[in-house]
Formats: sequence, structure tokens, C-alpha cells
Amino acid sequence: MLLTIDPQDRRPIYQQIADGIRTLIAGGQLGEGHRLPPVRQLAADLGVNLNTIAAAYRELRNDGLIALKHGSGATVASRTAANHTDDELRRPLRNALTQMVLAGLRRADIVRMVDDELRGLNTGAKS
Amino acid sequence: MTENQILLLVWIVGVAGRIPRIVERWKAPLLSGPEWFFSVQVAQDFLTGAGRAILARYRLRLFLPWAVEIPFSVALLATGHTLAIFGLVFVITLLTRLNFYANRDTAESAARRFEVSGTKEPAAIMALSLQPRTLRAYTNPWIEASIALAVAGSLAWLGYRHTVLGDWHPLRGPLAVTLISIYLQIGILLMKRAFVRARSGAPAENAEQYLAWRESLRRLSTAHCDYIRLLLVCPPLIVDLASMTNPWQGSMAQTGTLIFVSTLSAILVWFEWWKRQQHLKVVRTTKSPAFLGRSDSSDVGRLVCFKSSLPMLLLKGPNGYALNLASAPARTAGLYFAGCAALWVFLTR
Repeated sequence: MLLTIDPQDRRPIYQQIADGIRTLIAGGQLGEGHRLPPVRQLAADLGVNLNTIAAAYRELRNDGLIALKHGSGATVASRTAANHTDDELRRPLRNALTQMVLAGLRRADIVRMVDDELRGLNTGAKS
Repeated sequence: MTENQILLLVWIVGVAGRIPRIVERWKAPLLSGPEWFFSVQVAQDFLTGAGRAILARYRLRLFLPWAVEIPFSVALLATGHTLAIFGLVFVITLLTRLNFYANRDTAESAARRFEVSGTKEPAAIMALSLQPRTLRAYTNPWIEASIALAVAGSLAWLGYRHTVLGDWHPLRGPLAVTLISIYLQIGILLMKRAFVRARSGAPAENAEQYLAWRESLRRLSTAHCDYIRLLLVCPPLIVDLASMTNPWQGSMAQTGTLIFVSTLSAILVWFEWWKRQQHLKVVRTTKSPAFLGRSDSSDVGRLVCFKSSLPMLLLKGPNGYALNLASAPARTAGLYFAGCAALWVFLTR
């Protein structure tokens, strides 16, 4: 299970880490209860400040994706839609769709892209 | 066999044990096959041209730790500080590894100037494993139990002898050997933990293969630590046995000890060879792309620095590598060496 970090990416490193882990959880590669490496290990592997990794883990915890316990590290939390309101779940989708419409994409293209991404996630979850 | 002779034997085993490593590091630049120098793709005539001097310099530098060790060892032996030999072997083992990394880095950088044109640009995208690395995953319970049993046995024997004799003075030698052995055990265990936690980022291209190579190297390094720890239980056992039998010279115990140590050494040498062959298989099939390692920090000094927010022991700066004295491994090493000095004072009191 690998996480890739691109120094040329416009997103800050902590965001890339959070997004990468989020994708792996969504794809099912990181299942409920899976232990994530300690902050110190990831920071040393990447050669970055401890706070960078801590910020990524904090963001994932705030999203309810991981549980942080002092001494035992981070584990992937259980995923239930019941933890979120309908509006909370729709908001990021609405933002993404707005950006796509503003970028000039046609409805059919948007549906195809959403479908591709969803299929990609499902494939990851099955493998 | 006197205690000094036993210590000398341990030192000789320690020095001889490093010979296979030197042979392997001697061959390391050419392991990936023709047209490769470490991970640098070079022209076929590289080793008959500019590469010849680079290779010669690399191989000569492999012996730098010996240039430090031999005069120090001779001085220690001549002045009768035989116990300090243990500490010296430990420091030199560390130095040898650091020297190899620095040497390999220098040789690769020099060879990169002769890299064949058309070789891919160094990879900048990094991949890292999300698998937590813990010391427990690299621990063999049988080895740990054997070491614990041997150490507990030595301590119990010393305790028993003390109750019989009612005085520590005649037991100073065996006690010193046992305490030094335990202290070195702790040191090597810390070193093993450092190997497990060592930085392990990979270039995104070919990442799985690269990480498999790192894992193989990690397994080999941690296994080495275990072999050394197993060998380290021998001196206290030998000294205990020596104090048990009277006369020691020519006794059955001496012959038994010799057979035990030789058998253990032979088994460990065989295991080491077998593990290394497995590792070499992985090394030969791994041709990692050049990795564009960015600097960890722009204000890192030349030799040492103090960056508590960065957990790495070695930091890459614009002018090369620097030892991060604020990192957890550096602080632990500092405490360990302070403890070493305290133990030395206690034993020589």
C-alpha cells in the first residue's frame, strides 16, 4: 500500500498525504481498524517536519476517517454514512460539480467523469 | 585460558567477522551488472576509463575505519585496557557503516558525471509505504528467550558465587564481562531499532521493487544485530564456566566451551551466509532509478545541526549531510555513550 508525494504538486505535502490516505480508505485498500504508521515514521520517510504529518492526521481525524489515540497511533475509523448529515455529504459533491460546470464541462462529460471515478474506487475496494 | 585471552579472542572474531562485509562492499558497485555503477547507468568502457579511479578511491576508503581501529586497538592492548576493546569494536562497527554510506554517496555522485546520455531524469515523485514498522515485527522470540536466559543465568551464577564467597572482589572480572556484555546488548538493540525506523522513502517509479529491496536490507541488518547479540552472550558464559572449574586450564569445561562457541559461531555464519544470499538475489534484480532527493532543510550546517522538529538522524542540506543532534536517535546515542562512560568509571573504581 503506497502513498505518492509529488513536490511539483501545488497542494501542500500535508494535503497530499491526507488526500492520498482518504483515497485509499475510500477505495477499500485501508479497511476499518487498519493501523497507520506513526507520525515519526512517515515524517522520517518523507524527510519532513513532524507537524506536517500531524496536520494531515488531524485533518483525517476531523473528517472522522481515522481515530488518533495517544501511544497507539492512528487507526482507520469505521465508516458509516450515519455519522454525517445529508448536507455534509452533499457539500463536497456540490463544490466539485460547481467547479466542473464553471470549467465549461458538459453534463454528459461530468456524468462520465463521476462514473469513472466511482468505478475506480469500487475496483480498489474489491481488489 | 585467561580473561584477557578470551577478550582478545572476541576482538579477533569481531574483526574477522567484518571481512565478508568488506568483500561484499568491495563488489557492491558492480553488483547490478555490466554498464552499471551502483544505481548509475554508465558506458561499457567506464571502468577502463574515468571509472577506474572512482572505483579505486571507493575501495580504498572502505579501509578507513581500520586505519582508526588498528592503532587504537594496539594502544589499548599495549596499555592493558583490554575491556575497552569491546567499546572500540562497537564504535568502529557504527563508523564502518556510516563510512560506507558516505563513501557510496560520493562514488555515485562522481559516477553520475559519466552517466550515459538518454538516461531518464532523476525521479522527483516519492512513494512511501503505509505499513507501520515496529521492532516486534523484526523480533524472533526464540533468540530473545535464549539471550534472556543466558543473561539471567550469568547474573544468577554471579549472585550465587557472591553469597558463597561473601565478597565481590574475586568476582570483579566475571562481573565486568557480564555488565559490559549486557550494556552492549542494549546498544545493539538500540541500533536494531534505528535500522527498523530508518528513513525508507522510495522513488515513485519502480517503488514496489525498491521498497522490497529496502525491506530485504532491513531484514538482513536486523538479523545481523541478533547474531551479534547471540555471540555476545558467550563471553559471560565462558568466564562463568572458568570460575566454576578448578583448574580451568585443560579442563573438560574448557573443551566443552570451545565446542559450544565454535558450533554457535558456525551456525550463525551459515545463517548469515544464507540470509545474505537471499538479499543478494533481491539486490541483483533491483535497478532503482536515480532519485532526486531534495534537501531536508535549507539551513542545515555541514557536519552537525540541531533541528528538533525533524526526526531524522542524518539531514540533507545544500552542502551535504549533517548529523541532527536534536533527533531522538542522536539523543539516545548521547545517553548511551554517557552511560558507557559511567559504566567504565564504575568498573575501574
